[in-house]
Amino acid sequence: MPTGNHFSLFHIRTWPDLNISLIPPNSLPIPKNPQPFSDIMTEAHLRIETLSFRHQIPAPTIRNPTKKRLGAGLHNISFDLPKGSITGLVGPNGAGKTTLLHILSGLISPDSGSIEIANEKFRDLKKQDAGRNKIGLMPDTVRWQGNSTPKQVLHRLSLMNNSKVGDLLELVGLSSRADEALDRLSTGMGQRLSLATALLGEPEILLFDEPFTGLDPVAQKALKQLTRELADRGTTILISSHLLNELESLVDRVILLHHGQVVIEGEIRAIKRNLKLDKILLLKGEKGNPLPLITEKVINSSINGNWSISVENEDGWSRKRLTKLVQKLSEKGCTPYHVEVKTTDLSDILEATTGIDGMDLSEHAMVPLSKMEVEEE
Amino acid sequence: MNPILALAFDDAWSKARSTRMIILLPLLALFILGACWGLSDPDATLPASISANTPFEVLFVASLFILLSSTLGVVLFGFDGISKDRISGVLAIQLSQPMARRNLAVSMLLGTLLPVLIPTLVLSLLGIILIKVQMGEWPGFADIALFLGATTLLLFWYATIQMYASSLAKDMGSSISLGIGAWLLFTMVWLLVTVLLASAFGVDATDTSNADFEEFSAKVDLLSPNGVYHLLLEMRVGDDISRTISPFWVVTSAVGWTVLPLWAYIRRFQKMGA
Repeated sequence: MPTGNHFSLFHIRTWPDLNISLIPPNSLPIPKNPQPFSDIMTEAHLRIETLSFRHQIPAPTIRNPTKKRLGAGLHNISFDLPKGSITGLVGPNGAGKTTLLHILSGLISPDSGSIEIANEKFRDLKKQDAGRNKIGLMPDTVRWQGNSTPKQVLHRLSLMNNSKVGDLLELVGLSSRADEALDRLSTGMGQRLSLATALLGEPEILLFDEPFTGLDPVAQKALKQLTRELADRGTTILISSHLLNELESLVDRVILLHHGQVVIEGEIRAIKRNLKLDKILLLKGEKGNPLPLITEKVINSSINGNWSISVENEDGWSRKRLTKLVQKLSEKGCTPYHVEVKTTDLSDILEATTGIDGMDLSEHAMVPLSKMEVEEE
Repeated sequence: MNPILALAFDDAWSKARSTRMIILLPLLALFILGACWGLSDPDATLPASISANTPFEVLFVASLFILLSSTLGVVLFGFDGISKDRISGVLAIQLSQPMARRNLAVSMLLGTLLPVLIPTLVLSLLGIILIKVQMGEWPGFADIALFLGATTLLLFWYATIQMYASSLAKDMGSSISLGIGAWLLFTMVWLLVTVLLASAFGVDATDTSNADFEEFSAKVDLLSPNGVYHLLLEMRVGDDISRTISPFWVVTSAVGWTVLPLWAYIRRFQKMGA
């Protein structure tokens, strides 16, 4: 990433709990010829093509003690991430999210496929140092321990990275703990240190694995803010997280993995529209039977003294339409006491596409066989 | 500075300030300096089978104490050299850095070796001064070079074995078991292994001082880093101690112990996931 000049539009922002600077002014590098954001967003920065990987699980037998069997993995994963985008990588446990991040960060070799970063193709980042130079990884919950300090940790990693630490600790809000033993850092502080290690060397691609784990709400907000600002500067960010609400307010796009396949990818609004997740009205009431009065498609109903129905309308539920329906029901003797246009989040997308309902993570859940095509808005 | 060395020294310096070093350093001083001082004392009475009449013979016998203390030091620093970082998740961050895995492996190995090797060599040199004070003469230059070189090799072999074992371990329990187990095998129970093998090959093992057994044990010692260390030193001790094995095999074995575990360790490190 080019260095030298600096953005001037970033102001001092404070990390409220520590009362220290999150983004110091003039601390982050600016590209020499910055591209307009609209252009940046259309350019594929990270391109994954038919990436496949199967875990090898030891299955020793008396005749063959070193025998291994193929386990879960990734199957023909392909997607593009536009430059400067923030993409959420979601999916149930065991979907392959961490495996994908490990391949992208060069920790494991894929069986087949390729990774293209800024038009430079890599077959196996584990063996190609130049590719790893472009990627920063923040792994899932690192347990920092020992008498070393955050400053020493970053210095050590900078020797591996051939880069300078600069004011990374200040950037992530750890400057006041720079010389404190790792053993004394809280989980949240440890996460901030992990974030600093990912930012070392100013990578073009950032991979975050469950970055919100252990962070308090204030720190979560600050991390989101930092992530957005890095993306605005052209860094492409892929975030795997189970905290779907946190993710939804941050990401531009999502990739949903299930059983090692990309089930769905695209902008959240487009996916919701495609899955018809924003068109459902939940009505609850007492007295009468509302079913004959409703002309829209009833998805679900329960009439037993009190009644409850879910109604779908292709055109969505405007205030006028809602008022009209409620008036109609009241006039005909049904008394609605609860009217709710169902808001959906990523968990609904997960549920709608994978068939996994709530805590049901059994093998009986629907296994997607092909990627669902979603139009970009 | 070369990044491998810079990283190794950084790692070694971090280990040198650790609690483990506070435990190890007095132990090394006590064993190495104590052995050199005590064994070179003209008034000291040694067990009948041990003779330490020249400065190098004192060093030779003192090497037993190095085998006990310095190798234990390498185990202390090396048993979790990789497994700790792997369990904590730090290894994933390290492996994702744009440094060739081979270089990273070598720097981690040196980072484990140096914090034990440097004090051991410094204390050995101090021990040589103590021998001079007690006996009035220095060991020969070649003797000192062989002693320090063989000690360096011994600790290098142990560091490699420990790092390899640590790369296999996926939890702290197996990490400790593999580390201590390898040390116990070569340091404590190797004689038992030798006796068992001798019995299996029909060599009389009821009297460990008979010539047949000594010749056999020298051959079996080629398979142990401690054994090769002593065989290397025996090449400079008088004929009365030296066993009947060709220096060619001793040197070949030393080269083998240097190259093969290092190759296995680097190969393992390159294949390793986080």
